[in-house]
Amino acid sequence: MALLEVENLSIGYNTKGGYLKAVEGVSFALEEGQSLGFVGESGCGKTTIGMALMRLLPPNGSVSQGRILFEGKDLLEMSEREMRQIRWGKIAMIFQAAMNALNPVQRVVDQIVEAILTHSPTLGKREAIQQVEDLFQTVGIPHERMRDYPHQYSGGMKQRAIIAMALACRPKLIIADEPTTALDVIVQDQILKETKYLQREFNIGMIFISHDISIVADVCHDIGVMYAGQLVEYGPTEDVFDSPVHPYTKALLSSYPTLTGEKSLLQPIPGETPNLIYPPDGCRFCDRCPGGSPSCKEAIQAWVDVSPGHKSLCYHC
Amino acid sequence: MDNQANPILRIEDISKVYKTKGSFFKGRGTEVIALNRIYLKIYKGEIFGLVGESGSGKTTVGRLIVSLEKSNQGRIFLDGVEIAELKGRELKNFRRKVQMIFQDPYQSLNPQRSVYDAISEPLGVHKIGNAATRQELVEEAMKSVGLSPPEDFLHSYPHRLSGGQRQRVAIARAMVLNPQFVIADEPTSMLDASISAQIFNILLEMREKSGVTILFITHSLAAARYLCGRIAVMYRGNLMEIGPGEEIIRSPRHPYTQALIDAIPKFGQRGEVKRYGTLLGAEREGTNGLCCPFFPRCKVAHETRCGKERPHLKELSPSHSVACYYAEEGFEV
Repeated sequence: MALLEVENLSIGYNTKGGYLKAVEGVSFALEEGQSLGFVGESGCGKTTIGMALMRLLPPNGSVSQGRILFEGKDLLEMSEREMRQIRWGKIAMIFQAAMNALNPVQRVVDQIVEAILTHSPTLGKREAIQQVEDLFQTVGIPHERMRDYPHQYSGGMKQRAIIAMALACRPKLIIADEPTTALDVIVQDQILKETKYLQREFNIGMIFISHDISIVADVCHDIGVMYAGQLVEYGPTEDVFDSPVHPYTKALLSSYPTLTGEKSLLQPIPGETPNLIYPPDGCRFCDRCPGGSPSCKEAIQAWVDVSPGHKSLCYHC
Repeated sequence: MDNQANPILRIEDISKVYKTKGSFFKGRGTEVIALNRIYLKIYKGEIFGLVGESGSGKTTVGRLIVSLEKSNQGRIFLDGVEIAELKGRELKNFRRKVQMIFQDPYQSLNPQRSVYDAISEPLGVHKIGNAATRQELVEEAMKSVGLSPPEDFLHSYPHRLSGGQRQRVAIARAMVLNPQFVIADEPTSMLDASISAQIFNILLEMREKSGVTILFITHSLAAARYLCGRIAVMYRGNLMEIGPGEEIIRSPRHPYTQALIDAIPKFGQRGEVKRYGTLLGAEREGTNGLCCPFFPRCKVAHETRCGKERPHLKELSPSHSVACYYAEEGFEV
């Protein structure tokens, strides 16, 4: 049984302009100890999926359809009380702009101890502090900095503290939403290496959300490319990046400047992403697609298998 | 190149120090050296890349050039004229010739002014043309940044525009005065990849068409490689390496540049990736202010050499300079 199975998930937000279909019909599965990356541009729904997995959607957001099976149980049907045990206990999240996720008026160690004690009330405070000490060693913060306040930390250290906090309750799944976006490359590199190491070491399943293809390619086994609320291509990282099939994946890859290889003119994607309150019929990328034809708008979208595990949501593939 | 002898912009020995405020408890404020004796020449018609991490001082260089700030030491020349000396009419003229594109198009445009207002405002300030010619100039600028047909956007307000469209309005606003020198400070760091590529190509096209010189400030070596001929790498207020972009990326000479390239996720690159491994795992302790800025984290550094005296930029070849004793002399590691 997979650790996490998401079936046909659709999520929307009530906005002033109408009901915005942020995510539509997304299905994927994650095995224990594997990592899955979601890439896509802003507004494609990748953060919304992460929030829905934690059941932390804002008040105007709701899941309109689908199931989220975590260890075989549907998270969407759990009571808030059960969910509170799962949240942080079994599924932890590393938020975007994690530097703001720490409480500025509490010592870092106290914040993590609090998280540990909430989930294991039988533990004594001294034992919890001992655990935090171990955690800090794992993520590479000197233990004499434990009693500091967040503002005394650098950006990278705060990020490490957040990772320590995410690991605190030995979760089965970590959702990392743009965990390194605000960091410089050298620090980013260290954090990514650490994340990969910890994920392997503790056999944690990980969902990694980023707009940066190169990071996801570096960290994840499998990858899902999202566009306008839909998953458009899904498969093992090498397959998707070495032989992309969906026109959007191809377009996204050729709009990235690289450090090596031939310096060719970047091909920006013309046009804008569609309005998700009134999404277009058929393929949503059609209007910006170099190979789009009128039939794309009429055909019912269906997955095309490219190779084992690698599939694409394109009628022409 | 025949224009090599005559740089459009020359920066000589510029330093900038910020003083933090003191308080009753902390005593006197401390000094932060944002720029430390920078020399730079930028030639007409090139796109020059200034690359560095946050806090490296790259934005400060840009702000000093447009004289949004005053330096503590050193001089900046545009077309041979020192900009700190400019006053009155000459200063206004200078402000017309040098334009800046800011990082965040969500903050750099006034939400209460339409696209036409935003782009035509500089024309008004500099009293260029009448109403009809201004409209023409604005439309021309809009077309050149891909906001076409201009009628669709002229009377829109920024909230109606996407991030990419806003940044294009900001570029049109900078270009409408036909400047000689444009500073683009991380113009795409708030934008998605596909939109960034549009902006990059607009900048390339602009240089092609009007011969404008661009100082491109970025944290991304890949973006600098794509756009720029020459690039300079900065670290903690110092210039570490300067040379042709392709050469610096393919064979970086400064250990810091090498560490930077090591840290960038290699993507689309199969098999063995060469790593320089010049970054120390833990910072060296007990270093003084006199050492090379990268000394605390440099694996190849010599205690007696790099820890005692800061290296200056030295030419390795006429186009490639490095501020590093190791790159210069190649001592044994």
